[in-house]
Amino acid sequence: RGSIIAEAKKYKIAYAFIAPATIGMMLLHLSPLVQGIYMSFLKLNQFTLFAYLKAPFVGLGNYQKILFDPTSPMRIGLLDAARNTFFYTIIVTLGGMALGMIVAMMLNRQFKGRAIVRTLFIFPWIVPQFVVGLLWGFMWQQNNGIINVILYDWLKINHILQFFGIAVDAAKPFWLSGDPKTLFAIILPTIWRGWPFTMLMLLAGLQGISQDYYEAADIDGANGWQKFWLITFPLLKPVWAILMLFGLIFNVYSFNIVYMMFGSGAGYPGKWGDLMMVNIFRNAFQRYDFGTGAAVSVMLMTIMISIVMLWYRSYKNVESDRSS
Amino acid sequence: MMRNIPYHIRQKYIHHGINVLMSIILFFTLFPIGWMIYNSVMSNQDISLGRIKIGRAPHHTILTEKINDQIMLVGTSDGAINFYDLSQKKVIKRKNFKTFATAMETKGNTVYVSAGDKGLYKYDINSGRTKHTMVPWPNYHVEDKWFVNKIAGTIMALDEKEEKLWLTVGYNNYGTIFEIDT
Repeated sequence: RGSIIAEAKKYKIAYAFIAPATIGMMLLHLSPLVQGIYMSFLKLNQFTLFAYLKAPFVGLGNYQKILFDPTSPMRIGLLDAARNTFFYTIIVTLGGMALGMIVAMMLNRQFKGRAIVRTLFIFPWIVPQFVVGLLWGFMWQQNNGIINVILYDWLKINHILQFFGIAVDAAKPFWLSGDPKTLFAIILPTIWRGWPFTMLMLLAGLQGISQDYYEAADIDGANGWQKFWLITFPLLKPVWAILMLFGLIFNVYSFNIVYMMFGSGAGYPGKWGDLMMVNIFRNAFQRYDFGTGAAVSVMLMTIMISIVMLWYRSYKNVESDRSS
Repeated sequence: MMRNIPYHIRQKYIHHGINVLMSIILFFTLFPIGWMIYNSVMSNQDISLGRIKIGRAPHHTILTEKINDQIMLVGTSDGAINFYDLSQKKVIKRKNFKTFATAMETKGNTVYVSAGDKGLYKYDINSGRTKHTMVPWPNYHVEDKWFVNKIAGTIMALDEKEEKLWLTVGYNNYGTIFEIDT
């Protein structure tokens, strides 16, 4: 402790210079956070909204309602949303990373038109998320959506699958009806929109790997898989780690695509279409239950902080492996 | 088996294979964007009806006349004469004059199409021959500019006995009536 004070005294001018920015940043980041946590202890709804932060204090009542009251409207559908968010996050993050890795390796070669192809692959990433939601919402439509038109009207996929002994309903599926298909229907556009970023990061990582390793592996008679698993994969670990963190955070807090896909939040996306952020938004801003909405947000934030701490611990191992 | 193929040829095949796979992924990646751009030139009606092909913009029908048991002539305000097959329930032939402020009349096998911007067309539905007459609309050659947005419409009347066609244009008013031999 003494050394900290001594250091502060030694660099007091430097600390004085950075103090305004530090205080500003702390206010900017911490004040909404503190307010959000405080709101989670209030009974803040349409009847008490006029009082805002002076609304009745209910302590842990909102948390108790969410966790233990099966009749609470906030709790209804929350477990479905949590389950969907879990699968959605895992599949989107890993799917995006896998696809990004495959395409990054394909693009990390010499071929004609490489610059154009690289640019074309980034196109989905420049489409705004709410446009992606609208676009795929139209594409998934039951009778007129282009996906069902291609699969059922053009390719006659039901006949093909029946030929292979797989029983399929002749009617076109309703992808956004809220059954398990819906989860797939929201995962695919998210992967489609997000994987070019992953690919870009991995491509940058791949370009940083010296060709000497691969040449040495060739001399040793290594095959393609061995080269990937023993050279490429370990050397890209820091990139994987960053992408994993980004993916987890972005996808747990994913909102726009689902919100737009189901008619701008007008309707309930169904048991398998609901995500945590969409659920919180619907309950907080459409049912006007801001206190409970804030409580769920705080719980989600706590879980995410734990995940990030776990990630940071494993990332330190990656860093120490790399330096050793 | 692959081991027996010379190294450089094997590499070439692998490269080609990767290129094919990459092209497939690129197609699926760009398809939604292409579909979005394609939809941007379609009408709301076509999109909501799930039409794949771009349809014609909707136009008011200004003439319907059955020419036989099979075919009905349907004239639209864009100057199109559509041959509608009643049994197939679809347009089988179309002649489009792309006109503005259109009026249509028929006499026997002839369709007269008048337009504020293009004058008068005489179309023979059997031979498909067209005769175009530039009508000297009032003030058309006098004023410096002919404001198309001021044209309210064209009105046409046929006198089958006298074999005359009467035509006027609404430009500020319907001031001048033209008499044309059919």
